[in-house]
Amino acid sequence: MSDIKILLKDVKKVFEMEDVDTYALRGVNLEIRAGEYVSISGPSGCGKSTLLSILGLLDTTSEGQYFIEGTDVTHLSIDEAAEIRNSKIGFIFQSFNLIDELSVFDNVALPLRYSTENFSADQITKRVNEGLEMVEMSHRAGHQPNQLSGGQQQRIAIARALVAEPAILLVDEPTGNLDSKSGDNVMAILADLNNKGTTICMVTHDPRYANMAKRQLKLFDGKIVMTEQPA
Amino acid sequence: MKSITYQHKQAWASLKKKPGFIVTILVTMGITLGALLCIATLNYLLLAKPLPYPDQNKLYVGQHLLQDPAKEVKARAYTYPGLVYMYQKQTSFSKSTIVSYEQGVVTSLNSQPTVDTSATTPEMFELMNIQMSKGRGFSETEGLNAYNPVAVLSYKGWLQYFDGRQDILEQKLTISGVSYRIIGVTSKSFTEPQLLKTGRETAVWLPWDYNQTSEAVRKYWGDVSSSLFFIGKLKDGEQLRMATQVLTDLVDVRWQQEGIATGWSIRIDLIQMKEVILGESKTMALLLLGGVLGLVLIAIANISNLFMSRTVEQQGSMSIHAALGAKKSDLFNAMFAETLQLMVMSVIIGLIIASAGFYVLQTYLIDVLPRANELSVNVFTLGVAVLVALLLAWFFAKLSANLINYRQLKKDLQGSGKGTGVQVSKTKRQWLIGSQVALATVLVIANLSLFNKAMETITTPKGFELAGISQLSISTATSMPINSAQSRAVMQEIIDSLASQPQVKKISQGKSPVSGYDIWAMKEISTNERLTPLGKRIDSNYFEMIGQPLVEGRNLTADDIKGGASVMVVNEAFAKSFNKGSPVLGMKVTRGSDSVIEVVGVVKGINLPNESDQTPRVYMPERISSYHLMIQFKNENLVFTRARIAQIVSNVDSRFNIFRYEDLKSLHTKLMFAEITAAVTTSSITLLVLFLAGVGLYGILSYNIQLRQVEIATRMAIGAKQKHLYSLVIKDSSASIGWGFVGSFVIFVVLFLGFGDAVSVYINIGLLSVVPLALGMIVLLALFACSWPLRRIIKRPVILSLQ
Ligand SMILES: Nc1ncnc2c1ncn2[C@@H]1O[C@H](COP(=O)(O)OP(=O)(O)OP(=O)(O)O)[C@@H](O)[C@H]1O
Ligand SMILES: [Mg+2]
Repeated sequence: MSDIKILLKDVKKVFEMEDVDTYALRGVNLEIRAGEYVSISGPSGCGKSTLLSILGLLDTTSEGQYFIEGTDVTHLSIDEAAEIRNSKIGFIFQSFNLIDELSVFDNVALPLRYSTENFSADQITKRVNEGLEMVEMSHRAGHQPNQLSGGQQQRIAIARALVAEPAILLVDEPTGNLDSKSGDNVMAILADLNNKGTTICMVTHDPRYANMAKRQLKLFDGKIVMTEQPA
Repeated sequence: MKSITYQHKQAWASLKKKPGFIVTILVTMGITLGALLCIATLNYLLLAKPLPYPDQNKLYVGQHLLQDPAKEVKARAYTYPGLVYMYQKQTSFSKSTIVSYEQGVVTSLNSQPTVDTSATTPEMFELMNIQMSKGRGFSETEGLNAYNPVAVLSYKGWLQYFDGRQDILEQKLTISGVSYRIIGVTSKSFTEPQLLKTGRETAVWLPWDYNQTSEAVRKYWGDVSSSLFFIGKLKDGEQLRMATQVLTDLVDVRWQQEGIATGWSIRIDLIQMKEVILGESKTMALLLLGGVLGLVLIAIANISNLFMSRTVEQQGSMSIHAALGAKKSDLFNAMFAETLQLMVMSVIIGLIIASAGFYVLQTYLIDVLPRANELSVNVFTLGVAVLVALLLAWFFAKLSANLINYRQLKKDLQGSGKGTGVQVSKTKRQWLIGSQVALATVLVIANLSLFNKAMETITTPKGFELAGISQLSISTATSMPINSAQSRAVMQEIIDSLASQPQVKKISQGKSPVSGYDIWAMKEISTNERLTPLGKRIDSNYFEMIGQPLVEGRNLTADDIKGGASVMVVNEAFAKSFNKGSPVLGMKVTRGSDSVIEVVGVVKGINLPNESDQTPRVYMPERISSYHLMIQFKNENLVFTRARIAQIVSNVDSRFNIFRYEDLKSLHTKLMFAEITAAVTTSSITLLVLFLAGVGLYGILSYNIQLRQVEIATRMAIGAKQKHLYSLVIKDSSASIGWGFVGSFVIFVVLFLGFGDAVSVYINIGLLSVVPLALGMIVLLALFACSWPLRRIIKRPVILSLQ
């Protein structure tokens, strides 16, 4: 298998509205390889979130092609897209998006339950516990998400994103709702994950955090204008 | 402190911005409140409002019961002499009257209309306190055996048949050859008690002496007629039970002297006039009220949901008001101003719809609903309308106000910005779903079961054919009496003339299978057993024409008819019930003084609406002078018009005219009028319930899903497929729906325990057969209501729902 995890070919995104069409992406070409840590930054409204949605199959392209691990995922049915999201992509959102009604354990287990792989209860328990250990939240497995602090919730979200062993982790402003200490903690975990081999693509405003990525993309007006590859 | 007018102006200004909201509420509440006001008024009329006659609670209808030796009631109808005897000899009533309900052709009018006539005694005018708009009513000069040929017109009869002409009192009218001088017109406001049949209105009142009973039957104590009635006003202090006993003795002793049937007896029952007029309709009215209340509750649940959503929507502006110093009570008053305006408008629409409802009831259900002609918007209706408007306005305002977390509301504005000051709690939402489902289930089950019952009657195979057959009844228009030899000759000529028409296939003399049955009292000779089957006179073409098959023995022959043979054909039910063991063919019976009648044939039974197919029936030769004919046409689309028939008849003999001419299909349909009405009403109520419940469930479930939108989108991001999501929302609402079903079961149990007797006809094992269908409908509806809003979320890009 190729080690190109993500490949965008001249992707464009137009939001068609009643009176105006907004060109959010104007031809993006992007390649992310296994084990990379890519950050995307740029001014407000430049298309960062739009790009990340398309990468995460939360939205569709208007033009261009999108491949994940060599498979064309540009045009998928609702359930096909769901399956790819489940098996290939892990999401970390700015507002954590844990499900309040489910316990911490069940939140983390959710991707395995939706998986087509039919995990056994034992497998699920094992995987979830490993995930919670990795983010140091094992002691909170039985809690409800709203009993946890923001930083703790984001760590649970990371565990959930990784539990199904995705091809790539997509992260949107992971520290936006966190104080700086919790933010630093979350970023440390991400860096650690990447060191262990997880491929990450992260959108952030914060230049300090953007610098932690191995490759930094700058987006301007719907186009990638600069790629910085730190030594 | 804001003034009330200011508040109402504010409320209107704010409502005006939401025309969709207003229209939804006005339509939903307008229609359901209209139905409520209409049915509530009907119930008031049937259950509470006294009859419009003086001392109405003392007015009784005396019923004449014919009992077999086992005291089983075999007929509930008077013998002619028995009725007159009771009227003349009774001492229990301060005043009494007798009446014979009939029909006649007014031959003195050019249109020769067939009208409802009633032959009665002068006391009728006093007992019913009949006011006159012209002339006078009957007095001693029209008493029994006075033979004074005068007539009183009803107000409607005067307008309809005499164009309301002012010189009416100078006029005469002729019925069956007798010319009557018109002496009065009853007042417009007079409503006669409809004892024979709901919806029957007398057009011409005639003195008792001129009733149409033949001289022979007037003296014969063996025949009974169900169009004879006795009305009396019980004496002050007279006990009902005493009176019943005294009257029973009086009539029975006299009847026994005639020796009509040994071991048999007569009993007199006294029944309040109100009961006779209302009959079964009270239960029907209560049932309708129950149904409408259910509809109103569903509508209230729907509208509650709308008001709550609106309150949630308004929380922004409410927090501003709160921050500016509006107290909790101010917020409530503002809401009450809005809800009151909406409810007042709804009730006004409701009143208009109720008036339309009255019109519909009076136009289409006059024959089913007693006292329907008294329906109108009255003080009661208006009182209910005002009360309902106030109560509902208060309820909706209170409900919305209770959503407000006043402290949180103030905080909302200060920043944390989550907007949780107003929220519809999960329990409230579940209650709304559960109660909607419970009510809808009860209503759908009840309506489907009534629908089923009605359809059963409508679709039962008749056991005979009626396509292309018409019923013709002829009458004479002359004051010269026509003897039976003459009638015989003329009828034969009419039959021949009709039969010679190329369009006509066959003629049968006698009445059609849908009418013309009488209770015939007879006695089997070998066992002395008394029999009271329904009897009918037919000719030799009858069974063949209507396709009623012979099972055993032979048909009546043309010779039987010509000779008036003493033979009869019976149906299978008769054969089964009366002949125990020995063969029915050859069985011999007598009727009063008649000669011995022999059973020569057995036919299959027929089903008439509302009659068991086990009804014993017997058929004897029709008199060849009979004025009743059935005409079978070769092509059911090429039947003669009334005018065409009239022309053929008058060509034969101009003294003969048409009394009635109608095709059997419509006669038969008329018999099922109540069932057809029930089927239409229940199916439309079912649809309305499903619609209202659907709208309501959709509203609340889509609100539910809206609240869960981010959660659902998160699940999608994690990889949930459509089936996961559908099963998620279905599971989520199925608990409430399940509780709704339990609730409906509880409602049925309560209804049954509380009103067992009254509702047992409607709540019984038969319900079980429609339960799966009803539950299926509700489940489908609920599934639709929760999956449709979900579909919207699933179909669009996940990212839109995540934000
Ligand atoms: N659903 C939508 N409909 C219409 N236009 C949209 C939609 N989503 C985004 N846009 C437009 O597309 C452009 C890119 O938006 P996007 O959210 O990707 O920017 P961003 O880089 O994430 O900005 P920020 O840093 O403020 O989050 C903007 O002009 C935005 O207005
Ligand atoms: Mg963004």
